[in-house]
Amino acid sequence: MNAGKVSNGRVSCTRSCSNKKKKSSIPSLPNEIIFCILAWLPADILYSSIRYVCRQWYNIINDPIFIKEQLLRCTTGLFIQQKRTPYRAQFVDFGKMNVALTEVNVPFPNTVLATCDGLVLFRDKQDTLHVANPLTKQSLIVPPFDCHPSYGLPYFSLVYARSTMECKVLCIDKPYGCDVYKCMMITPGKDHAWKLINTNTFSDPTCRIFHHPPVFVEGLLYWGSLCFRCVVAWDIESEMFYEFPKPAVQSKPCIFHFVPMAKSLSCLVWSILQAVFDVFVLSDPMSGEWRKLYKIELDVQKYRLNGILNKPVSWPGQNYFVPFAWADNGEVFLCLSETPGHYVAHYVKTGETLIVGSYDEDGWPRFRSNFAYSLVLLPSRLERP
Amino acid sequence: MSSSLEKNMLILRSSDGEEFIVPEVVAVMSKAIKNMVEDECASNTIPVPNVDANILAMVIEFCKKHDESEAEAASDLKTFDSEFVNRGQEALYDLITAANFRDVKELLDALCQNVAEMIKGKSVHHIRIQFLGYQLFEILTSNFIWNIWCDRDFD
Repeated sequence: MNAGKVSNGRVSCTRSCSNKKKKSSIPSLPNEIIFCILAWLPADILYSSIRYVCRQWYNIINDPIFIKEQLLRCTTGLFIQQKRTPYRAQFVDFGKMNVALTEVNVPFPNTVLATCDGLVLFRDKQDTLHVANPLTKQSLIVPPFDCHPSYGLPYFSLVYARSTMECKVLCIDKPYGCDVYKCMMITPGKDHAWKLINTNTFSDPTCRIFHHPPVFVEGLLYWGSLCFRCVVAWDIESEMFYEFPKPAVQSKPCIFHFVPMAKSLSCLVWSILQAVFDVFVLSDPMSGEWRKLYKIELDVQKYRLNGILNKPVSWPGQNYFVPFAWADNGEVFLCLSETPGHYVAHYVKTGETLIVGSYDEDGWPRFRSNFAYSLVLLPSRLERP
Repeated sequence: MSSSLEKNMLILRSSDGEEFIVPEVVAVMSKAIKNMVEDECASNTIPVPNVDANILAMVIEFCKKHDESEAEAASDLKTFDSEFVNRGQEALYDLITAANFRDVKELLDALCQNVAEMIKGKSVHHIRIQFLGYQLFEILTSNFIWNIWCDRDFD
């Protein structure tokens, strides 16, 4: 056997074992089956080891069709990052009932502004925006955006259109001395300048609903707020806005939270006087139909005793819990108890409540849902016109 | 013989000639058979070439269970699936080939997921030995070309 023989100008490993090939080996299976098997594996394992197994597997894993298929099967977790240097980032996976925390081994120069389908958007020390895939370490510079930062504005959202395999960056800004919020977008690697999106169809011409960042679910960005009767959705494929009403609740003091749940949008209505969350799910994004799913009652008295809540009551009916994610297909409800405090997981079926972590020691981190490692490729360079 | 059969039963004949009487609803879980039935090009006996009696019996068992338990709890089906796919590597590959050839999506997904679980957490060397049929001495001697692709004739 002569491994590492140079033939035709490349190093290859010729093997003399083809005659003793065993039947029980994967190579006897066709490409499409290996494709199906590998698509069930998480992207970080695929990237760090599986693709080195053999050239056939390498080619399958690098195929854009495979990358898309893998994206459909991966479970999203949370992306947590420290707010100050060294901006350490962690990935929390809630996939199988147990919480797995892994370090994201990328030295971020600053906090991550947005994440989507394994991509992150961040600003470096020189204020340049970058889109990057922390797994493949590929990155792309986003053309500069001319703005005057004030009151948390402008803010950025990152979306990934799976059908066209393009990422888009959305920016909401309110120019100085102007009452109207503006929505700009760019497709890095394709566009050279930011373009304004038409918001004339809005019932509120000043677009104040844009004040709070949106949530991204299955190809749509949603803005929802306490003060507006409508939810605004933006279709990332057609780049169009549309509106539909919020879930109908009896007129009582309540607070609305919009959180992605599996593949749909959920709306959690916190009744201030009762410490109860009513959970609605958007069953059809096109018609804006809401379906009531759960009623979650939280025992505030008990939580005071077992340490989930520890601050004294500031006012009756205070909003103790800020929901930020769902895990395990909507069976586990994750929220943040009074800041700084704990991340709390509430199992809807059993009614159990656990502390999954508290992050108050080294600076309050930013958490974002919608993260999963992926093999998503970025366009390699900006094409010059 | 076909007259004694009920109308919604089909006969599947494996590659080694064994025949299985299967309700039509179960048989059409295979897209390939469904197409044959819909095109009415199938008589009562449908030949299933490339799949032997052993494997065909397993596939039918899987389809029957999935057909019956549509109304049952999804968790029951999940435990059945995980037990069903828990087999030796060789049987697993035969089943995968059969499921792919006959286009039984649920079975193919369950099997592929199982193989993926087997791959998960193993080193590259281990995967090469267990799944690609490499011999240990080949791995040892080729260790120095770790990052250079191992070309191999797969056919």
